[in-house]
Amino acid sequence: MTCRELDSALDAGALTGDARRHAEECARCRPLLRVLEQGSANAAAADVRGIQSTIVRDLRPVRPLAPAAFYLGAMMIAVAAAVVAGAMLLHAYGWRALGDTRRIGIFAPLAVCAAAVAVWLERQMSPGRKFGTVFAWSASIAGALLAVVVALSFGPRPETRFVARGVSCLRAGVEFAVPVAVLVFAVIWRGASLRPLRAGAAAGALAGLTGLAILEVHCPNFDAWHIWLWHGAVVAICALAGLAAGKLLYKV
Amino acid sequence: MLCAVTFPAAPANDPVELMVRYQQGDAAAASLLVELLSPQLFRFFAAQMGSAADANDMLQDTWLRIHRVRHTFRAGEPLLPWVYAIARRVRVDSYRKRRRVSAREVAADVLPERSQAAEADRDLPPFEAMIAVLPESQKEVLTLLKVNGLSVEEVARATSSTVGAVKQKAHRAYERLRQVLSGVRG
Repeated sequence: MTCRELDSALDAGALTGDARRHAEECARCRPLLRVLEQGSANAAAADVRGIQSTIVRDLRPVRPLAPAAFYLGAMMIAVAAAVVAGAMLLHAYGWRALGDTRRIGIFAPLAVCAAAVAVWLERQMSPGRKFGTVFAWSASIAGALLAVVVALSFGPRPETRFVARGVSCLRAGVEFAVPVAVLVFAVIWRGASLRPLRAGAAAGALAGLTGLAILEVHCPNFDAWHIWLWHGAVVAICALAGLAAGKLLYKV
Repeated sequence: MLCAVTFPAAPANDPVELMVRYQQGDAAAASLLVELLSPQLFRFFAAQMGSAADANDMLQDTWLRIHRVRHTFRAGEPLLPWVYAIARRVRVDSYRKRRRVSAREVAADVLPERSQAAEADRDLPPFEAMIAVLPESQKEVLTLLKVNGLSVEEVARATSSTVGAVKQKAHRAYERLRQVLSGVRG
């Protein structure tokens, strides 16, 4: 057995005979094992009486969080309802002009990104959940993929009134994102108290992605700069606003 | 009319069951859970902070926070990663608070001086002194694995990380400790 294999054996907890033999024979591993064994043997001197009385004094029954599917479903319904409402109120000019390939190229990564953010947000509702960061990374990768698809599908085009049109899109996107953000915050209200800033930013980003989806359905302006800057700004602004809201709303 | 709610006796060694009853408002289960988990939480803080007073303060903060967010525990999930994710957050918050208050820092690469007695009998430095040379993230992973006895997967959950990342941090910590120990003994 090598020192590296001993490290892997240490991950498993209890050491096998081989690992213990190696530790006894190896001058580098023997002291390491002795130090690690000291750690598990240390006695604790915690004062628990005060804690017990404080907790018992303020004890009342609480309702545990609903299953994850409930929160995910509620978030997805809020997002889908907002996109449908946006398409009906603003008209789906962009959707009609896109064509099938671009629709898939745009909306598939967008849907994956929104779903990953929703799952990441749900994972934050209860501390110590599995795979939280995996979904955060998945959302980032899907977002980057969307930016690449925009570059490949559209490219820069000469445009007049770049700022005026951009601000109009930005305003429309944020206006539709706000009710979604309110709904998402209402859904996650009871959880996500451990890292309020992160949860707030994720909730804001989900609302911002909804605003972005509505703009992609509505906006027929296919200038890549317009989409990157003004449509992308909806997500960034909502995420920042969510971060601020998280700080204000969850003071634990 | 008052309605007396009685709970059947909880198995003393099942923290998940105790937690569920704590959520239901069972004072005995809450007390038992505090008694059951506090020693290992204390060790978690003491191993990293090196001070029993600080560890006790953080233990109290942790229980207050656990009490406030006890509804976020779901019965099907493992309890220890939930508890340690909260404890870890308390430690991080406390660390930031202290850093704001005092700019004093202990250089992470300097091995704490050993007492003359320890030098005399050529004994190894204590665990807490040894892990003081490690970066925060490695120190935390090693404490959870070796002091609190969590599995690699439980540590990954508690630290919002992956199993691979936890193993990598642990292996780097072992290698660093080997280097330091060979220096101490040489």
